[in-house]
Amino acid sequence: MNDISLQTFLENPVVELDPCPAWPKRAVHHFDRQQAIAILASRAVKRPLLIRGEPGCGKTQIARAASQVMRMPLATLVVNERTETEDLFWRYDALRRLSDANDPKAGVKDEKAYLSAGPLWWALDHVSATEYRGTHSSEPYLGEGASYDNGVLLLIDEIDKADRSVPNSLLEALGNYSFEVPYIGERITCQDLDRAPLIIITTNEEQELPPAFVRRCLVLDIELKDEDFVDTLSARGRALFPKGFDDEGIYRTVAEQLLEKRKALRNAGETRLPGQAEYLDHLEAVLAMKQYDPDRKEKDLVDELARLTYRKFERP
Amino acid sequence: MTHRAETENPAAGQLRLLQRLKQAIPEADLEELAALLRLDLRPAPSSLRDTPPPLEPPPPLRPEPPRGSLKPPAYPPKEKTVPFLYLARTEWKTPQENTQTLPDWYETTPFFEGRIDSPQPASLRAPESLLSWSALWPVLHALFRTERRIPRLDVATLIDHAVKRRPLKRLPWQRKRRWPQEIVLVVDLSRHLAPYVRDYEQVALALKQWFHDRLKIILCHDSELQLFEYDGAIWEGLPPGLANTRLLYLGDLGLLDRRGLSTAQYIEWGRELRRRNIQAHALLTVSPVDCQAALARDFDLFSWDHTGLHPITRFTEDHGGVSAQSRAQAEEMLVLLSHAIEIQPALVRQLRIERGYGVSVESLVMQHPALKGHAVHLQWRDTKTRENYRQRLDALEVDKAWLWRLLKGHEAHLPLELQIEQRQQLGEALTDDQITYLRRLTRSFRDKTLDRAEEDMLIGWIERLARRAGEERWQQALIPLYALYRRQCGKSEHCVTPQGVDGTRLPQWIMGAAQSKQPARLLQKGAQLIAVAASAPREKGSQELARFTWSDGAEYNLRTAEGSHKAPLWLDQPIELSAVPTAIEINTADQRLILETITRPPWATGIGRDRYGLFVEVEAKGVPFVLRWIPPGEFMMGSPPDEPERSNSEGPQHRVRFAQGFWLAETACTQALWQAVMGENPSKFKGEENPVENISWNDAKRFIEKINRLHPGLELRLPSEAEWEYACRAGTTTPFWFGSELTTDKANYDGNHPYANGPKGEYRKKTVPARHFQPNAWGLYQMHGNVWEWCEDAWHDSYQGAPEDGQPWKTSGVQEQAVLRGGSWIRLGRPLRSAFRAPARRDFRNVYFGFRFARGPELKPAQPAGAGAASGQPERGTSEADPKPRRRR
Repeated sequence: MNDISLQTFLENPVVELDPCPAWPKRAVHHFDRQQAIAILASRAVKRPLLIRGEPGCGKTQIARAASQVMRMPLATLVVNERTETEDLFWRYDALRRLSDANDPKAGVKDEKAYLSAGPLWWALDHVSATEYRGTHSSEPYLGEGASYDNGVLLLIDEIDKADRSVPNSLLEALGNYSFEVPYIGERITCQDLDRAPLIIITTNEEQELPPAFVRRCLVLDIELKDEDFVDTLSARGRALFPKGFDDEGIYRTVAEQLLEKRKALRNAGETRLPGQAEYLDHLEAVLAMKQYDPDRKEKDLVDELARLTYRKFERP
Repeated sequence: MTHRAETENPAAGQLRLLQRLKQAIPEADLEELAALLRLDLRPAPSSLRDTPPPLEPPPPLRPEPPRGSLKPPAYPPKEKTVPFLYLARTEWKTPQENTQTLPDWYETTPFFEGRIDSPQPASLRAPESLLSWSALWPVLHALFRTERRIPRLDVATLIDHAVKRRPLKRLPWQRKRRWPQEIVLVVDLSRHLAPYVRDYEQVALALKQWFHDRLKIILCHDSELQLFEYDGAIWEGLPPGLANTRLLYLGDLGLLDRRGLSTAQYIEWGRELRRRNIQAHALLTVSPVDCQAALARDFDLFSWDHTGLHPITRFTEDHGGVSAQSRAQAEEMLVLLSHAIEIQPALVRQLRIERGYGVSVESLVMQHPALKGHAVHLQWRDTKTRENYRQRLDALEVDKAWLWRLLKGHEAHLPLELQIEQRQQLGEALTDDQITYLRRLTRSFRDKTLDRAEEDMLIGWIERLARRAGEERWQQALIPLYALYRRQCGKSEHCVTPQGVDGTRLPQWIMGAAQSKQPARLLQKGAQLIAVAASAPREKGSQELARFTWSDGAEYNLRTAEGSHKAPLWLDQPIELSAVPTAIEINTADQRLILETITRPPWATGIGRDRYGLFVEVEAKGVPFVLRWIPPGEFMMGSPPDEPERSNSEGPQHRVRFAQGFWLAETACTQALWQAVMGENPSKFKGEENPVENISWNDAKRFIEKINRLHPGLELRLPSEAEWEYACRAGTTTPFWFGSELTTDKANYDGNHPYANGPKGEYRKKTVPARHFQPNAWGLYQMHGNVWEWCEDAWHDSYQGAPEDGQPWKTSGVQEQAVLRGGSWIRLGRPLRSAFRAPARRDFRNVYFGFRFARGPELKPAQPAGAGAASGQPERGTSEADPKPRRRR
């Protein structure tokens, strides 16, 4: 296992995220102390880390950044309402198998051809997983310097989108680091507990998770507090777009606008509030417009694009 | 973070985890780590003892009792609906055998070989085909055959014409039935059809051999979305290019889909088939009763079951979904499957066929929300759901042996752990292999250093087993492993305690040192129960429910309408009552206490509880009186040989146990009550509230007979001697309930003749009102002094051979004499002692003879009824020959 300590995170809190197939956009993550502790704690006691927070506050980014810092391969499952627990374990292409069975030329191939190892499989036992790439490979992304020797970081993104039964049925597999594959009659287990996967689960809290599930996790709440809101966001903006603006104050101006908007919406009783994602979109839009129209004042562009950025939060 | 959140995350486990976190990341502050566990470390109200909870009045067990009823019930009690918890029964267990020594098998059993790992998965067993191909193909052939001309002349017809000399207009060609040129096969692979996929595959493969590339296969992946795969592409709806042909559909036409919209989609699809001139036959793995008439317009429908392919021509009226019959059958299937650990299509099919249920049932069972898992590998969603089904098993009147034979047939597919679990649930004996396996695990767990992962695995397995276990007794071979688990749990609240294990009787060769015991009290504080040491100071706002001997391994079992919850009972650890319990059982090394709830019984006008315990108010002829609940328990009857002024008839001292409690009048029968019932008053010292005196035993019996006749259901009686002394002592062992010293401000007697050289006092020379002086610990007035009280028993001058269950002793002794207890206003202090007894003829009256009456115990349905208690009808009076027909003998 690599010797990452809290110090490692605190000395270099800003991580430039490499573009990867799933997230082709460049991004910068800014670790704070609480996040770093949470990640290390999760690895130490081998419990999943549940990151809660409103959409766009950078939950997924934490996982990406952690995998990069800790040089762990990143396996991902993005959950949607049709996701079943087994999707995390494997995918079985029954359709292909039946169609092969009916094709005299092809015929039924080895079962391995229809079975794809899921993200947890890769995370627990990448050696056997390589034998089951199948048609829906979930092979982890290996960033620069990443190695299976450091264990795999398994990101289960937006667990709250899934059916309520999914989190509960995940508990056993995540707790035991093992699950069974009925098609080949094998049980996949963690081969080396020292290299057990680091599991990060994110939720937007669109639906409340079962208490038993939350109890089994370490919980990291990402809150954007009004007091630190402008400082935090402008630091992140500056990190992502380091020398983009003539006027250094733009970072703060945009953040302040966003904060006003948030307060107004919150008072109106809205629960879905604009956050970091909208902030970065806004900045990026201003930057892009500036290239087309270098003579416009940045301040004017900010106001103009604010309408576009926040339109989605307005009620018709 | 609130106090509530803290009780949800009980300290023990979370704190241990916090410790591990701190070791792993020493740089982090404790608060930062605690936040990850959602723990609050602020010193605030961390334990109940530091800050007494707000004074909560007694029994708010009911969800929303009216505000006023929360106050301690005032006398006379009028509250009628709040259930009160009370100690109803006590059972004494036989003393535990010594289990310190290792069992015989222990030393000879080798350690578990290899690594202890999580259970192997069950292997999948394919279900038997519904129909063999040889049974299927003639029907299919008949369906699809078309008559076609073959290039051969029909010689027979030619000859016929020639013989009859008829002219031949056209050459007769031979015709032959043949398969059509091409067939389109649609296989529905929707998830809910998983149990039948093998059958579909079988037909598809056989047809493929027959038709080769003239068979066009369309796979339906989701019937509701109407997604069809054909020729390497996915189509929404019927793929283009197919027309003027024959089509065979395998599936359910959406009829079994719980989502319910698929059939409408297929009706639409059928119209499209007709437009394209495609003749469609549908083989449905659906019972005929579940079919909808609307489908018959465009499909030629067959029900496909193990009995054959049956054309569906008659439809039951449109029920818009699966028929009630099939749904009921599916529910029954689940009841039958309630003992199965792993539910696979093969088992479901066999069970269904043996029970003669329709083919629809397989899909309905496998997609039932009570089950979870992969489409063909299901388990019960949770224990509670399964328990609900299991409770209905008896009503089905199935042959348990048959069910077990069936499950056993599928056992080979289960790993050893699941086999054991299944046998445990069914109460079937384990095989030698299974027992050896458990013994080896036990030995390894106890004596071998397992690594953390192995230990977790084993603990996890036992915990799962315990969590899933129902009410069945645990297999002997599983108990040592459970004991190891329990030892590992320590005081954790998460320790799973199955109903079938007695936590106080776990083998000592595992649990270690001898069981510790200590006297304790069970208190109720609002909606909270708590057991405390008997010596703990009395807390305000708490009500004592029972006294008992706590022991290591003690457990409580909280039964509510929703089910039961069993857990270890620790001293000073509160138990929250979230719903009104129907009963609470406390299990210790020596006893089982059963607390029940009671609301006002029909024969009473009120019920309440005060510091002395539970009581009811009863009214007879407009005169109210109070009966107090005397809880079950044990005591030493008689006096010890060294008690001053003792008489020999008070010995030998012996133990009496009351398994059930009973009601006893708070005071001696008053003159007001006697007057109201009997219409006369024989007493010398008149006073409504004074006890009635100058009555004989026979008079008292007449009174009781009359009051019982006036108030059916009341069922009063005289107490037995044992009951009288037990109630008088109320837990004390001293000569009087208030100690060893008798004075005239505690009881009414002749103060000139004090007891044991005590201080002299007043001689009142008459009775005083029955409620004079302090009552004893159970709220009973003047058990000592004022008037002698008649008991049921015949006179015996020694306790040699006396009953030990508190029943009246009438079978022997001096029949014409009854027992008097408690002393009176006249003469000495000595006879006032709890143990003192005196004989008197049953027909003797005296101005210092009175009585108090008892009631109960209630006859419990589970117990054999005594002779004469043939029905629940109130007894019409009580005769002398059989004075307590409703009591258990």
